[in-house]
Amino acid sequence: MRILTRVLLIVTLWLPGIGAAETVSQRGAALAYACVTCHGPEGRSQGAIPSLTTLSSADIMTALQAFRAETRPSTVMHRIAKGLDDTDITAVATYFATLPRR
Amino acid sequence: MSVLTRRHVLGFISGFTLACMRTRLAWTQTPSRVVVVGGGFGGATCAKYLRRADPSLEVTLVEPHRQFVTCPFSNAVLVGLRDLASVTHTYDGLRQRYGVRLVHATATALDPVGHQVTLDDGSTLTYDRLVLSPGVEMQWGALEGYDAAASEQFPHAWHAGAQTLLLRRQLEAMEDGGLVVITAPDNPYRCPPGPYERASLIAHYLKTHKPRSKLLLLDAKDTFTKQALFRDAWARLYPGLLEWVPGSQGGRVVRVDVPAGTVHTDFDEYKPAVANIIPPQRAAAIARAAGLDDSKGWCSVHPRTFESTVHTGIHLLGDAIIATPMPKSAFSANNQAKVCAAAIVALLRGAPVAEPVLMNTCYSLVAPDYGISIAGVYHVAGDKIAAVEGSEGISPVDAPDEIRHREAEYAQSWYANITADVFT
Repeated sequence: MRILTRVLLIVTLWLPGIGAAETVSQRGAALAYACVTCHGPEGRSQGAIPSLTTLSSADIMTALQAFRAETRPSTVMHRIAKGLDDTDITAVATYFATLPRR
Repeated sequence: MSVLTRRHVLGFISGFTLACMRTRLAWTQTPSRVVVVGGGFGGATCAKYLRRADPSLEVTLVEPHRQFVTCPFSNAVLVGLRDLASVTHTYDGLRQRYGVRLVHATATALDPVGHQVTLDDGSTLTYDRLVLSPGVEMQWGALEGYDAAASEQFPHAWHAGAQTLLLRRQLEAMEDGGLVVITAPDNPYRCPPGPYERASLIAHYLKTHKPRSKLLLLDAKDTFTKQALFRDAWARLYPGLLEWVPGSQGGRVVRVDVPAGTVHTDFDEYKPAVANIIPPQRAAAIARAAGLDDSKGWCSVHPRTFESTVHTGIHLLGDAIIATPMPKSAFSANNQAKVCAAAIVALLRGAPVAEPVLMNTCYSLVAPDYGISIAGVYHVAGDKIAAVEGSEGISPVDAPDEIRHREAEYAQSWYANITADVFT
């Protein structure tokens, strides 16, 4: 039994790297962890900072791209958005869309 | 020629045995143990996110206090805009919701080779990975005449709690027309904009309740964070009331004399009704144990994992580390904690460590309805943190009042959200 466990573990370790979809979702989660510091746990905000859970992934992507281009007014988001590339914007928008709506 | 002593042999055997034991532990799926020292924005966040990422981890949070009083918004407590309870948080959520084991003790010593932490009750904790997020301590004596006893007369209020309330009582007891002196230290120190937010809110309190009073901000520095925004707001809101004295123009405080009630610069002597001395600081003692700190009392880390550059297996976060250009802020500590937690989970599994997401946003109140911010996104280049071009910056200097009002509301909202992220 123990030998079987070891073999399984070794096989698992030899498996090829995580798939592309999972990489995107991991990056999305990592980015979202930074967003929730201001926007609240799971993107549900208390107070004046907007919640993210009411937005679709398309809404979030559009908003971040507009903040980055400074075509949409903001306070801090035009600065934050300049730190994100297109892949990041897609990843984080996709991540928030997977969270429970409210 | 090397001599093989009994000690070498024993050391080799015990090291080898330990290595075998660790391997065996891995095979038999004994949970990995992570000890986190310090229950502030860095440590509490790290403990929570470790358990969130891998519920099989045994996570122990070592924190002497049963409640955490935040420095963010303690300046609002100082001037009566909030009460202390509103900036006080318990560890119940971490314990009950995330299964973090709380040990209310002070870590006093480290054994980086034996992977052990000694607590002040004499017990020890063994770890596979250790996270130190103990914050700062005041460097008593670095400013002549200023030690722990002196801080009972001239509070620093740079640890929130009793010191905050002491300074608040002094401000409340002061007669209208009194002089308040705040002294700000050289960089680096906890919360770069903190002294300037504090000066602003005390000026607001004086303007409202004791308008004949004067506030002098004696600074060791000539420049400070969000300077253009603060100075513009001061000129508009507190003309003649708040005066900032830069270091090169006599602002550097060289000595305090508590029995005489005086504060001394190279040129002048002040006898304030209330003195708030923000002294030089360094990483708290446990982060300087085992040679983890540099000659100036701060710790350096590899920014992909926040692992110490001195000892493997030990990670450091928050105000105790130099993570320039990330400032020593609550947001930075919270953000670093999440990166560190993800890295530890990966390292324990032997998986690759993901590229970190590093950010900071920091609000300051210049008046209750007047907020300003600084923000930045960072990436790691080589083994150094650098700002992503264009992301780092402060609120616009010429913004309309409406933007200041909104940022003041955002500051309040940020506080509710970050504390929910850390403690619930």
